[in-house]
Amino acid sequence: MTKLTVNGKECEVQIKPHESLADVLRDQLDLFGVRVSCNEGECGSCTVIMDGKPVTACIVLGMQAEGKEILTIEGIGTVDNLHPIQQAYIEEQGFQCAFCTPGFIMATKAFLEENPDPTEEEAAIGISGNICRCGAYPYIVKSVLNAAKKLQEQQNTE
Amino acid sequence: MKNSYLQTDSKDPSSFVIAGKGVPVKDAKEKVTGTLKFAVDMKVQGMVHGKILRSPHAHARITHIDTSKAEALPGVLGVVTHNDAPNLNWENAWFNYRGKVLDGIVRFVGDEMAAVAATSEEIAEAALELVEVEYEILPCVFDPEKAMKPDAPQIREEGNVRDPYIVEWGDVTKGEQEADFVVDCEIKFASQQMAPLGRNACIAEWNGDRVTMWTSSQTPSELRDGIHEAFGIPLSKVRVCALPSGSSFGSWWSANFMMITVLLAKKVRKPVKIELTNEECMATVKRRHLEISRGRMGCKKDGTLTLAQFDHIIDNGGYGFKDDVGFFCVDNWGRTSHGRYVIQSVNTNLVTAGCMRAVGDVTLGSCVERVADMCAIQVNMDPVDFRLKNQIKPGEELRMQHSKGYLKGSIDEYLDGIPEAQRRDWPKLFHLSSGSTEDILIKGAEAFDWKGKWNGWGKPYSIDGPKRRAVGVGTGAHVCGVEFEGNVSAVVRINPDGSAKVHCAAGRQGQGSETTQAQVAAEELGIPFDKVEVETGDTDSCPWSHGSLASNTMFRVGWATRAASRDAKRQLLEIAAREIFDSDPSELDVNNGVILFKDHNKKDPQISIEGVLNHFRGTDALGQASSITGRPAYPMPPSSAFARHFAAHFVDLEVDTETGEIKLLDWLATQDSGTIMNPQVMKNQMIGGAICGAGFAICESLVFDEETGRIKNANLLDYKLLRAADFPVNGEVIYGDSYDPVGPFGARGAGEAPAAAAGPAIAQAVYNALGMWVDMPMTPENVITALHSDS
Amino acid sequence: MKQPFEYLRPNTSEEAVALKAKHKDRARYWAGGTDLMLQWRAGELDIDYCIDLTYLPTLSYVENEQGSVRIGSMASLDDLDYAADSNQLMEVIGHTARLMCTKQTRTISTVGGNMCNASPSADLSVLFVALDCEATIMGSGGSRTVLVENFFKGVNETILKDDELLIEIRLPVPEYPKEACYKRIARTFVDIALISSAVSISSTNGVVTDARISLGSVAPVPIRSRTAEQKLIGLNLLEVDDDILEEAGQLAATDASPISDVRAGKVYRQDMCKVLTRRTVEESVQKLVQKQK
Repeated sequence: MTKLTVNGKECEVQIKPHESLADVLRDQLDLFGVRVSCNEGECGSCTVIMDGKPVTACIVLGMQAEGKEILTIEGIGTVDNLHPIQQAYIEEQGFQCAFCTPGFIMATKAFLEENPDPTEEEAAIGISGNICRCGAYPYIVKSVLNAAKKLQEQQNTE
Repeated sequence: MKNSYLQTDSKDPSSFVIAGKGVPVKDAKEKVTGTLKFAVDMKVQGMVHGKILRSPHAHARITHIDTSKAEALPGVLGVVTHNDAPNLNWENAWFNYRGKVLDGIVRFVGDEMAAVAATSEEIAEAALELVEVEYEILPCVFDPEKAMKPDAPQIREEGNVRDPYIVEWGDVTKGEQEADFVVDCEIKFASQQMAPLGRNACIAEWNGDRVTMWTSSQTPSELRDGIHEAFGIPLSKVRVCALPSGSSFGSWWSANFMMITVLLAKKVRKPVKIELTNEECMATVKRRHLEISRGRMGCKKDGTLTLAQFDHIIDNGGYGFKDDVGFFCVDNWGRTSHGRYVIQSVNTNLVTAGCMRAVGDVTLGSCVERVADMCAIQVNMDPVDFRLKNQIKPGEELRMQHSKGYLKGSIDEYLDGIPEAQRRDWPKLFHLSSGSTEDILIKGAEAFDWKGKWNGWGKPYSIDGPKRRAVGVGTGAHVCGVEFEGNVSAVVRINPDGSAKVHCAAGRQGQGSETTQAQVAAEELGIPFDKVEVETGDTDSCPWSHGSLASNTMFRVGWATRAASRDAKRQLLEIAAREIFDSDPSELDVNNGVILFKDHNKKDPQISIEGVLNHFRGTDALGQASSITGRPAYPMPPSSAFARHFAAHFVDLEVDTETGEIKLLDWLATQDSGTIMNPQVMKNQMIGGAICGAGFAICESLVFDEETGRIKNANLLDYKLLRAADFPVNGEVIYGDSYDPVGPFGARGAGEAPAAAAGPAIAQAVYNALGMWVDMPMTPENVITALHSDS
Repeated sequence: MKQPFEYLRPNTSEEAVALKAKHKDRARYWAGGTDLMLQWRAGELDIDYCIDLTYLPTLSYVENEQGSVRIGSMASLDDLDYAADSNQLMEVIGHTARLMCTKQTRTISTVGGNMCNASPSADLSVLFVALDCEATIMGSGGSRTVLVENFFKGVNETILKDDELLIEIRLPVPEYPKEACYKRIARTFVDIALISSAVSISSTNGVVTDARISLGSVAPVPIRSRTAEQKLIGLNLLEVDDDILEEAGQLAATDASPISDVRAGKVYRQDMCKVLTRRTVEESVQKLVQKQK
């Protein structure tokens, strides 16, 4: 058994050596927001934040997550208590089918932590590690900028 | 009251209460929290896992298949082969697939041969390796034109070649005589892949002789039909629970792997889940046809088109059975006095091909746009002006009207079934009822500063070393749903608490059907939007409907939703009139959930729906109060005979003439889809369509192995999809100003015309930058190859 | 056929090397795993053990030492982005890293893992060759240092012996002006380089004293075009005009031997050798000229 710290909680999971972190999170912890699409680290749908940095969980070995803090979409907001980034995506409708959306939101969170006040172009480049096949990109970029504002306001009031 | 449900017949969108509002989609919170469930997330108690054994050969007959070793592997519950499959053909919508679940013949590399059910995916996968198969290798053919030859290997029992589908008007000889010049071109189009990031899974469970299926599907009703056909069981014994899908673009209607899941579940008598990997989704299900377009147009010196003659070939892959593409460019450019379009389809030993977003209009439409531009070049006319001159306007004849030799049936056959009395209020058939490219071209050109940037044909507006910048415009059209194989319907129930639920078979792939159908129903019923919900996927409650294909959802399903809402409201007002208001139902209406007199002077009573129904409930011997169920009282007119949606896209781009790289600088997507039911949803459809079309134009193409037909880039590393940084961040949208006479509150279909308009816009801009045409996909290499071959 | 394997987690480089020496080619060093995971899923990786390097505490540094920058083999590509401010050559390295794969993959991928995967199109490898970088390798028999230029043997093949572990890449930073440039051609914003070119030029008193021109995706390994380099050496920076650039590009193209694959054809790659080499040389020269002012 291996201990993982996921969304602030310690969990015990049984990890096979070849299992990806994405598979472990989905199959053993029922974290369906970690979406697997390409399964080759290309599309970013499975993006989680590991020790503060965005990673594509589909190519990280489950074992490589031991001792690290894992944050998934489930850990940043809920239907009853949305994170400002989630709120921003709703306001700008930065999604269509939304299969890729959790991955984008996690990538957005990591990006804004590095660059809290991006230009439009920086935001577009910043989340180009993720693919949206539906083609919502301009609205995703607007969501990132909207989220940046919200987070700055949140910081200012704290 | 300015915005009030009382004015539901008003054609002034500003009077609508919820129709036309950009409200967040109903599942927005689930979407951003990752709690919206797709088929890949679905679990059923007691389920086991299935994996499919796939053919290594392009064309072969299985002469011997031994599953004993696989069955003996611990954890395996059962294996199915063609020996277990019923000898019945099933079809999905639009003949995109026709075949038996398994028939012992494989028709493309990756084709399904057998399937294993086991307690885990890993065991099922290991078991696949233990199935022993012997083959008689059959000759194969990959090239569509070679496959058309009489001595080509025959792939289907019906033969490779379908009857040609022809649309013809006037006399092409006259068209040529009337022309001052004729131009022609030939384009071979690559095959685009839907690349559905959401992948898919199918869970099938048998209870006795009844089957339930959970899967992501855009066409629940047709999927149920397919199961009924494939297994020969009554429709009443089949229930499909269609879940939302990731972007589908035509992948997830019904697919054979779903039928295999049913077969496997029947064998092992446990629920079986088969989940497709990304590679399986990209290489074994479906793709856009490979297409070859040979076209010519005749034109007068003043820019009037006299002739449009196009011969177009499409490949159906291994199991497609289509005889046409939906090519509404025919109508868009239909002012041409004489025309003849011939579509010829043929099977090949490649994965099945069929409808992908804006089928036909992305490909043949691109060829038509180019040939038209070639005419415009000859007469030196601005392409916006050339389109304004030659493209169809409302009231004009649709050339697609009477089909000839059309597998799906003809409009005439459809009309025969409808009594004259029910057709009285229909729009003039075979004529464009509303909308066109006119309004959007004019508005778009102005917003884009077209005249300011247009520098003449083949003349970039800026040259900086090797980098050239130019603008381009492209138009596209597509139908708004079609009526064959069954009409649309919906059921609307009003609950005793005043809430309502719509049941209409449609897809959910991000086009907002769970929201926009609720907007339609809420506007018609007079019930607050928050109290109206929509069920789209359960065939036990949704009446038959085409679902979401051919841009059907807003126009046709929406029409049915409105008609069903009207009927439910009628029943409600009959009860209210009789039981409480003591009036004629026609004097009453519903506003914001409250029943009242239409006449403003009669202020009392005003009673909530809940109040009326609960008042009545105690004495409701017939159970009417608790079971108000509305459905359309009359048939919908045949959309393909009068409705189209149009897009015009403007692009500004830069070409590096030394490397061939193209950079998109600016984008304006304009669209005429009548009333925009929800602008937040619509803008996404327009830009999303642009990105799909732009991908086809610039970087997407499946690469087939020359020897085996195997797809070499069935992955996202080498099947290139555009990223946010590849598309202008300030891509804008503009809506046209039309109100459809039939569509719900004036709305029309929307999803496909933008995909058709994007590629031509880019192609024309590249022409303007370089002074020459480049075929798609315009990868850096293809641009350089074209430049070098020209010099 | 996917073969299951066992997971090993060494805590020091010595432990890692010892495990590899023990299991030889039945074990693979597993860094970020971005390449190995895909190979395993495709059934192309037949091993009994994976030796996870990601818990080694001392290999993920990027350190400035007098006269050089030392990059630990387990530094991530993203770490290079952060280290880009240290000097003008690190800036080019950082810029190049940013062109590779995606942000998420850069966080996972390691400089060493990327080099050891030895793809002919590996952007950093091409650049390291042009920057005269050195690789320090540790085996059970001891340590050695080789030029990155000599590190690659063929497609996915390096000179590493069975138990050897790549420890560090060292970037020598010269005393006299030296500028570098890296360019690539891709189909979309995220892509493997269809072809790439890396150039570094050293000058003294406005004269080119040394030049390195390397190319990626035109041979089984990153290659140098020594003929193109010779063309530039001895010239005054201001003498490097369009004709010289054209010649240098032409020479580089003749030294290349590209093939056609699913990403690009060999004719295109051959032609682009010329274009890219011209552009990278031009930009390097411009940077030096600017520096002089």
